[in-house]
Amino acid sequence: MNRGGLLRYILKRLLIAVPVLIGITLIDYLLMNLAGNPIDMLIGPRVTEAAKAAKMAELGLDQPFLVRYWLWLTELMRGNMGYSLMTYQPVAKMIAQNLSPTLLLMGTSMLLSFLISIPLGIYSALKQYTLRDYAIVGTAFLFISIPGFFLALVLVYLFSTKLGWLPSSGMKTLGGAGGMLDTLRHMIMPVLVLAASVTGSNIRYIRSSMLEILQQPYLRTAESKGIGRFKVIGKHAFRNAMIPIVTLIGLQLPMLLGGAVVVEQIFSWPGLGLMTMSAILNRDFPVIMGVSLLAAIAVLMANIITDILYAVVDPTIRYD
Amino acid sequence: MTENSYLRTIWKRFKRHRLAMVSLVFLSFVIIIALLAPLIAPYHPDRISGDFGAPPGNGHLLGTDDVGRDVLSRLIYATRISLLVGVLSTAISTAIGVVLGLVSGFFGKFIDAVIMRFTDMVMSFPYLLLVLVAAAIFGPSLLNIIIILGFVNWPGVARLVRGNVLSLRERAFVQGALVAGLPKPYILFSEILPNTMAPVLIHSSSVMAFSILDEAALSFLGMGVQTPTASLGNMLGAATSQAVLTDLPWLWIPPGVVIVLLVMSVNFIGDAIRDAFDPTNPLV
Amino acid sequence: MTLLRAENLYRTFPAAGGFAGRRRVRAVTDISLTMYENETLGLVGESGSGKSTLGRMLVGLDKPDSGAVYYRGQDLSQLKGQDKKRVRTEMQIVFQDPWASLNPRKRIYDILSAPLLYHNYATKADVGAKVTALLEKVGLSRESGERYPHEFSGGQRQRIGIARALSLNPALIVCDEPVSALDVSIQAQILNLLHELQDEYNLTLLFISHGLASIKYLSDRIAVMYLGRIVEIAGAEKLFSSTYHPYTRALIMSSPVPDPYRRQEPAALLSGEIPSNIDPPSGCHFHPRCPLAEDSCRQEIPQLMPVPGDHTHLVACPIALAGGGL
Repeated sequence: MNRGGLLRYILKRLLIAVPVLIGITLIDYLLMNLAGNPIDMLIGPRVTEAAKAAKMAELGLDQPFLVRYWLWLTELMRGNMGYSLMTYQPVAKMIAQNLSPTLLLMGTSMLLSFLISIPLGIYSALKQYTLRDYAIVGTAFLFISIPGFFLALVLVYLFSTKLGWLPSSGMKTLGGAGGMLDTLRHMIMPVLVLAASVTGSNIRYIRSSMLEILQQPYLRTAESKGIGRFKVIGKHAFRNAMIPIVTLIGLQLPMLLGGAVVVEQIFSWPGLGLMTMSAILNRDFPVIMGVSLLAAIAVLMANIITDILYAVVDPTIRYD
Repeated sequence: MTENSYLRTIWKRFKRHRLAMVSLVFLSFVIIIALLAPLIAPYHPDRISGDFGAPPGNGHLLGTDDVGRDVLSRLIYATRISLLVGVLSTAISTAIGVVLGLVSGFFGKFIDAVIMRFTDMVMSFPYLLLVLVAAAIFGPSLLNIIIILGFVNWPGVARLVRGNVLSLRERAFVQGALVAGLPKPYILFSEILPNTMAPVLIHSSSVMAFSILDEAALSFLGMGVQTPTASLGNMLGAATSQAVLTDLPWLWIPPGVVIVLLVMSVNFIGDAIRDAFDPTNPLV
Repeated sequence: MTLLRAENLYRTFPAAGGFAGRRRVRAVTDISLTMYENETLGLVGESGSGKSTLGRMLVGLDKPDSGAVYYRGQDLSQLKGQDKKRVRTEMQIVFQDPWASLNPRKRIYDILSAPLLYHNYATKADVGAKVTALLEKVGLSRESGERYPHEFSGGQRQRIGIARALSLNPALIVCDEPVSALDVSIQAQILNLLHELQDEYNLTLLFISHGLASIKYLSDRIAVMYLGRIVEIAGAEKLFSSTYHPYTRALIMSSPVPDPYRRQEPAALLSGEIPSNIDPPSGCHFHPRCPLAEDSCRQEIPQLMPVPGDHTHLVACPIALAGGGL
């Protein structure tokens, strides 16, 4: 692998992403058109009819679809994502305000999930077809199959209602002193539920990647040379197992974003998910589409980064 | 060895997966109950048949809900709805995915690039969010949920089929058919499609598991099947009220357990089929 | 009579591995070739020499980057509609791997009847009889039609592959190493079958092989390929009796011969590895391994030139030509 080749690859990958990005905005705009008049969303509902008519003429609403799309796109690039139909606030500002609690929730869940699934997945692969392997795989299946909202209800029922140990909603105790510890207590259950939703598939993915790596001839060679099994795994296999882990981060983002909507709704966690869900229930389309667009772009970026990391870690990768 | 004995081998391998066998029995049981719901359910699912919020017992095996409907009857009908959504939306998404994957993989070049970029676009939207948005636009109803889930879930199938077609297209038997001058549609549907059905069916099992979960999540959030029609998700949704959660656990624990068991058995069966078709596995 | 003529064929593929997007494997470079009706042309080369790619281009399974293939004077790339369909059926191929060449989900009967019915070579009424005749022609029973590919041995599968190739009354069959995946005892049976069928149907055969031994007695003429180019082409007898190109000599010496004293190990003749066809050596691609190599070989790419007094014997090595044959 040479530097120029890698740079060219990154450039090419970014170039492929451009039509996808354009397509994403197009789909977003199309959905918004199905939902209602996008200019209503853009200029806000408090404007008078006369002003609206003037604005429509100014923005050329009588123009064909693609022209209107282009107008919307130029507004978007200036940072104007439209206005909420409920709060009359700019969507971009609302998103910015609600972003950090969601990032905190997702980041902690992802970390927790990896802390659990990486050792369990590797252990399970090393002990393939033993009772412990079956137990781990069985648990993974349980995690995959349990809906997040059901798990959330069970946790709330046990730890809030019955035992009274943990708060069941919000990010801070109302009227309390607040502080890190308080937030941490509020975080425990949402993080557990969100982490559970991805941990199951993570374990299975890491287990099967590890099994595949253990089949590789170089591992058998190293073993036959008398290098200890665990040393081999630590030195050779794990480095290669990093590739699937990088992939997993890319795969997880959409799952976690979807999960956040459900989890934040149940635990009244004041983040992007809660905001989105209330927007959905109130048919507040500018907010919904703004969040969707942002999420899609985040996922697209994660995929690009995954592909580039792949290329850096694995120089034999082929692309066309 | 004949085709029959090949299937017998697959079945023998499948039977080794004990959890899958248990799942198969459970799933058959659930399907029979769902099909015979009107005969089996002790009460009408949507009508008041007892006291408000009566605990299990006393003619109501799982008690009654907050407006006095029989929970067991509602549970049976709800399972029926969940299975219906799972099967139909999976059928739709599999059909879309197979067609797009076949076309993309076989014709390649420009068509392939267009379809695959479109797949990338759809996959970029967080799945649940896209479904929620669609439900908000088109309005939540049973039919809409089935169609929306079907139209959102195909990218995985499309990618899988495309990959299979790309490798099958280079296989000598397909090349032989090309040299024999057979028409492309024939090659696509008669030579390539049958050889990619096994992985597609395996993938479909996980799509179905996800569809059942997604219907439940949608209905739980109030954007899916609407009451009074019972679905596993909207039965659970009742528990978002603190009173139901605390005082009427028989309202939400049974549908939750049914979802978990249903999805788990579909997943186990899919896993066992995957193992059974894996050519690297020993022949029993 | 000329059946097929290839002119200046080039074909490259993107190289696997690495990020170097512009690196390409040169599979076939500047190959021109003529095939005469009813002859058997042997095509010999090591793996990676481009012989299979050439075979695939000749039957239209692959398109050359540049150059053209003429079948009975018609440019394959210019054919359209009915003409294209007809010419396609006249050129068939038998593949190397008998395990991959038959659709595992179809009965032999269905595999053989589909092209017959599609091209109207048979009607619904007589297709059964035609399939039976084909099966018997390649030495299989009528009942084999009811069975699936995995029920047959490699040799039997190759017979089925030949039956499929025969079914449309082709003029040309490309045999892409049809016996190299089979047991030695079976190989002779398949080769004999092809030979008999050639006489019976007036077939023209292109017989691709990685060694000279298996095609020596079957071929009328033999072409030797090295890294995408033809280095020597001659009548089969001539190629062995008066060998010119040093690579051909090495191939002959390394192929198993009955006389153990004449046989030499290939390692002694061919020093060094086969160079990569991504960056082939400059000048004559063979020069790094060639015992005759001179300075000029590193610069100039040798063209095929006729041997003095025999215009059917072409050699791409001016040094060997100047020094005379073996």
